[in-house]
Amino acid sequence: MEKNLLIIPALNEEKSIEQVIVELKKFNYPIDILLVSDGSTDRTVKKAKEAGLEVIALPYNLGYGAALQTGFKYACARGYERVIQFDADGQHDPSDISQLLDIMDGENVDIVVGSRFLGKGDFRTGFMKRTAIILFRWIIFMATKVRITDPSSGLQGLRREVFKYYAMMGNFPYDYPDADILIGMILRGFKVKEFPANIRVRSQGVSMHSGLRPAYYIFKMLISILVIIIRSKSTMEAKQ
Amino acid sequence: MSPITRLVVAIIGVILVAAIGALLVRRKINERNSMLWLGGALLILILSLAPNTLIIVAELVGVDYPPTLLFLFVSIAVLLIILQQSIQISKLQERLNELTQQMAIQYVHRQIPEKSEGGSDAKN
Repeated sequence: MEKNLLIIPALNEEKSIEQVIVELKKFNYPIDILLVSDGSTDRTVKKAKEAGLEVIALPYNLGYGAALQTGFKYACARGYERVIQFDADGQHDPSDISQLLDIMDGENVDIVVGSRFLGKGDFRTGFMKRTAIILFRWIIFMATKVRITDPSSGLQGLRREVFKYYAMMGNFPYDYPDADILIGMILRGFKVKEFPANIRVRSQGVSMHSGLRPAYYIFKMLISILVIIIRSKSTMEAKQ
Repeated sequence: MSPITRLVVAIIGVILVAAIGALLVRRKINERNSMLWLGGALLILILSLAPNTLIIVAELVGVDYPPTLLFLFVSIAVLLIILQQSIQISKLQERLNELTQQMAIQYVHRQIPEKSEGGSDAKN
């Protein structure tokens, strides 16, 4: 058993999952790979098992965040030291993992985030998403004085203390963990670092940020951030 | 309130109290959740048996037209009940999520003893 666990949350990704696994295995990283199927109804689970992956199949759809949290719980139970979040849709480039692991090995950081806005790759976002990212960058800076360029990045490396906290009931959102979670963790004293990542265009399927969802997402995130800031302030006051 | 209206309101109140009582006996609702409903039903009964209560309260709080006060009370009661339901649903959703995740993990590793650390019900 390796000390690093790569978690792939997946919902009906049978078209892209094989390619993602093949690419990941090419690099021979010192990692175990776990796929958490979030109630997939296609052949995602079958394909992942055939490729030799450890698979947790949730019986029905709980949400992207809840699928990740299932992976964190598993990582806690099995004693992993680090966790890497990796998407099943082919957006993340497996070659970025080496830099992520290097940073986790060599630097005193708790959360490592792969950013699409630090010069690597040519990822283009839609207007709504770009607006949301600029807004949340600013909010993160105002709340924490830390500059994060890509708060919605799903490519992250987490130390044990971080995913142990995430694994507890109520500490991680079911839908989209985002700027709110990063703000919460920074305010709790965890160190976050970004590195340039190559985030590619989805090979298959539809993005979870498409259609009318961005408006809901921005609204929900604003409320969530406000609640997290108030909560952490009251926790700090209680400690004093 | 005319005697017939009073009678109708009283019957509605009795039916509501009886219905909630029956639900409690059959364990279709628990005591905690029945409190707000019982409170509402008893209020209807009181108003039908002593209709002057509403007029007295309206005069006390300076409301010119007593029935509007009744609507206000009813609206607040209904909002409180809905809020309580939302709180319950959120809590249940969280617990169901936790249960589903634990079950899925146990299913994969039911033969392997695990070092349990994460996943407990704690928020700090």
